[in-house]
Amino acid sequence: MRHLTSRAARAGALAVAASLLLAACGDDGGGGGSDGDSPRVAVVLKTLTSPYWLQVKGGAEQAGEDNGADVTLAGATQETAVQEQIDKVRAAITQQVDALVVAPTQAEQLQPVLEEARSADIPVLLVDTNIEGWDGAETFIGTDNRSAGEQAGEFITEQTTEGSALLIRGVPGNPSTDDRIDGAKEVLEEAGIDIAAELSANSDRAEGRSVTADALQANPDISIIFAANDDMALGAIEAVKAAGLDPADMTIVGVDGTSDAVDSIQNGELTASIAQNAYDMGVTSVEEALKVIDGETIEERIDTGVTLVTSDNAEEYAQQLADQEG
Amino acid sequence: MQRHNQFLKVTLALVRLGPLVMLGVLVLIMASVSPLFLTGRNLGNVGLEASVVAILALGQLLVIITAGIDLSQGSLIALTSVVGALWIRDLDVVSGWAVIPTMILAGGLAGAVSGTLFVKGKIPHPFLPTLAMLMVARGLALLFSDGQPITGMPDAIRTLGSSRIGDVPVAVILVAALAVLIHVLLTRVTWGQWIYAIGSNREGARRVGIPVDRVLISVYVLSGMAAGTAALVVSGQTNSAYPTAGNLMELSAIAAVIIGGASFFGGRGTVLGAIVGALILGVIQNGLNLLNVSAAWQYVALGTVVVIAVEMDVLRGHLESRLRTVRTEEKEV
Repeated sequence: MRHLTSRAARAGALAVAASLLLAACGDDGGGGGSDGDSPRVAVVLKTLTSPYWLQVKGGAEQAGEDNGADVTLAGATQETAVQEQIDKVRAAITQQVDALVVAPTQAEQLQPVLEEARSADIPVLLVDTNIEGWDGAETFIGTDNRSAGEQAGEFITEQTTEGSALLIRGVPGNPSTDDRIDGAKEVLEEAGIDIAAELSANSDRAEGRSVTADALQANPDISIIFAANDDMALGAIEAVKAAGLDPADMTIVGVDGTSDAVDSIQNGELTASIAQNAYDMGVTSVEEALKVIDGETIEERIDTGVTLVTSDNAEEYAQQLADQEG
Repeated sequence: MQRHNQFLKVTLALVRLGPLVMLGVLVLIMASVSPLFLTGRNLGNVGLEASVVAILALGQLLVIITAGIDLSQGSLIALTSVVGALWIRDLDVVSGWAVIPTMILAGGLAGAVSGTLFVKGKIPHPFLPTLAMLMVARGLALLFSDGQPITGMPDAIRTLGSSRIGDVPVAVILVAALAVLIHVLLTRVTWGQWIYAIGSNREGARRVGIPVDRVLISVYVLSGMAAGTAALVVSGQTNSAYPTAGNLMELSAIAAVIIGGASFFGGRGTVLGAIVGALILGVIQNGLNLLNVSAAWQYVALGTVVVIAVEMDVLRGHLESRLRTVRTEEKEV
């Protein structure tokens, strides 16, 4: 009897383990077979786990539907999981898709696998993040992050040219977030604003909060905060409030225009967000991929621009977001 | 001979205090390079920043004393906070304080699954079931939340994560209370003696009649509950639950426990050590932020401290065995 129960328990535990494993793997194995002759475009984003990327996804899916293309979407579990993304690109190569749209998590690390795609005659289009110095891609579709940063800087200097600023970087070495900070920094410095601190918070909300708490401690006169994404800016607002300050008295700007950020702007806490036109990025990348499949030549560089979201247009922008999320 | 003996004893006493000495040195360095470091407000920041790792480390400590490891803690922060946030948002039946036990129990349940898989599933090392839980919990957090952050936490949780009494963050008081609780469990309760015994010699513990399987499962349950509690602080701090929260935080907790002098092979480790370990990590991070040092150097500093701490522990073992030899020699003389 005793023997039996322990065996049963063991079998039960194994069954649980097996089902857990299945649950872990069940997410995105699919990819689905091609339906007849419709062109197949694999879109491998950095991740599908944040509002921003869900918008790119929404745009890409919509463009696929509108153009009768078979679009599959994939992304790593988080933006720092480079190897996971490489594996997903490789899977798309194995499936011999007709075109590959990729938002590289890290430029240099992704280049070799994208070259593999090229040598398998799969055209590669980059979206959101470019790989500088690599000419293998058909095009780069995205925001010029440096110019987005400059626009953030200009918006800030329109509000104030007094006080000192905290700049919050994303994952160290990520070119998109670094370019935004570098762009803003240049404009702020030219306007004579003192850069009190420049810290990294890995694009994470809790880390955005703790670096801001530390920076406010070291420099209580900080009145300007620019974060390379909205999540870190929202974390910064929590730290500002915890320090007994009113975020409405400061100029706090993020990037991405996520729905959380828009809510915060409407509540009078976040001053502005530089929204990349993520949905348009998704739409354009699939449309351009289809052109390449049809043998057309396309522009080397396609700028999808930015939208400045402030309390003036937050409501309108929120509505637009709600319509576009995929 | 006698003097040599004395020297050995003093060095050993110092090395045994290792983590505390290291914390003291770090505090002195930070205080001398930044006048802001020792202000009450900033020490509160250090405490708040260290509190999440400290809570995780208290759970991880129990697991490591049994010669185990729990890799799932970071992911469980995400899973339990997302579960809590969804209850608030979608079910509307629980609010405020009621969410707190929900999140802690969710963590405990996940810990029970890992522990049961390890013990009853006869998996050779807890690395594997907790690694599986790391993946599954992260996946479930992403599925349940649709990959989106959920903003808006009840006041009870916000109080835990964000408010202060004077300069002292409520989260730090929570850590102190938990530390006392775990310390009592380890030193005043038979269960505490059992987990040290299991960590030193599992087969021996079984032979003397300790219910090894149940005790092992219980440490994973407590480690999961620690993750649920840490999730309260994380979501209170950010006023949100997000599926990528707590990423890699189990590694910081493991580092804190090891820096605090616990043995990776089980049987040794203290609450004070784990808390000091978490504080060392917190002081380095906060101090370097105050000094505006780039993240790249922060990683280098943290890694260096882990190596120093472990080498100090190696030295301690070496000195202890030297002292034993000297003593036996003396007896023989």
